[in-house]
Amino acid sequence: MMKKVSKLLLLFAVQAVGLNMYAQSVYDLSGFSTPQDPQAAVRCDLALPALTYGANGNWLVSTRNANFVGAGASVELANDVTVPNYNVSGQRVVSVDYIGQQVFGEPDTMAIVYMTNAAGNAPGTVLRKTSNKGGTAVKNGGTVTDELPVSFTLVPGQTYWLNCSGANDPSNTATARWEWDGTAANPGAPAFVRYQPGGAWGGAACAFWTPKASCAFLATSGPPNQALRLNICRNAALTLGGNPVPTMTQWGLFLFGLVLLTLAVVTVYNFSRKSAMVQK
Amino acid sequence: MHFPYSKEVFEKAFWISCVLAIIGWILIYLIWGEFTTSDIIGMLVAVPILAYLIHTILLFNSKT
Repeated sequence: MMKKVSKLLLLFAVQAVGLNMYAQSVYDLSGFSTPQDPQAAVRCDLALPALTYGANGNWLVSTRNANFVGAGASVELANDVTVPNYNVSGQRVVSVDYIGQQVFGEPDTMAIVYMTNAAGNAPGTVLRKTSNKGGTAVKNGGTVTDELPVSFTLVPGQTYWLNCSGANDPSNTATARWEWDGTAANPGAPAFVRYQPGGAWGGAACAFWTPKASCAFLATSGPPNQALRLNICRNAALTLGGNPVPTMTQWGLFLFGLVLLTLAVVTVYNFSRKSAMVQK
Repeated sequence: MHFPYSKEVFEKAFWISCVLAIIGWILIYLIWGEFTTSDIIGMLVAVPILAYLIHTILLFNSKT
């Protein structure tokens, strides 16, 4: 009889401990309280491989009212990118780095636009606009990093067009400009451009998004694509907007359960001893 | 409440508890990929309690 009780209790104890551990691993996020790869502004439990198209040593201006060879000349570039799909639950693009060069002074602002991929592989509908003045972008030297808010998702497997440009106020006659590094590595369609001649920069304007190769004045300027990096995380959104549960809470609950279980077993043992004594 | 105790049985239970602790460390590393200070403190407290729990269960088998 006592051996049967002992076996049952052992089974119950193993099950309780196992369930406790399973519950912690499956439902609690507190294991992520110390992220392995903290991003600039967003914390994630695990950084997935970034999608990087590095610079090849050439760059092309991407600034409105750049003024560098006369007033009013503007060049804006847009590049397509297909978000990789790692088939990982909770995968999310947390930030985008636009890799470029800071030339002369700082532009008044940096303007970033995300667009859909229209038919024929061209920039389509505007999905999101932001800047480094009151927006989510941060400019650090030549690199402009945009921390994507939770409300905006770049869907894995989808193609988007990304435009990053310096933007000078029309009254600004300085030559401040940002130039986007070129790369030959980025697959997909070649970069598109919007061009407004001014001063010594001539040729016909390309008022709407035009393939760079078709915009006569810029057709041979720089490599076909622009350099950028998509920083991707797993479960990135799960830790946003809240404080991670301290790991000690998990241990506290585990120990509390363990102590209760021990007291219960001791009680059962005491009762069993008492009844055994009575029987004797 | 009377807390039963047998030194011999507790020693045996303690070893079982230590083995479980090692398995626990491996599981923690596999699930979370890191160890924290809380894990060390929590394990130090949990091992003796678990050993006593196992010891009490083993006592059911004893004749005395």
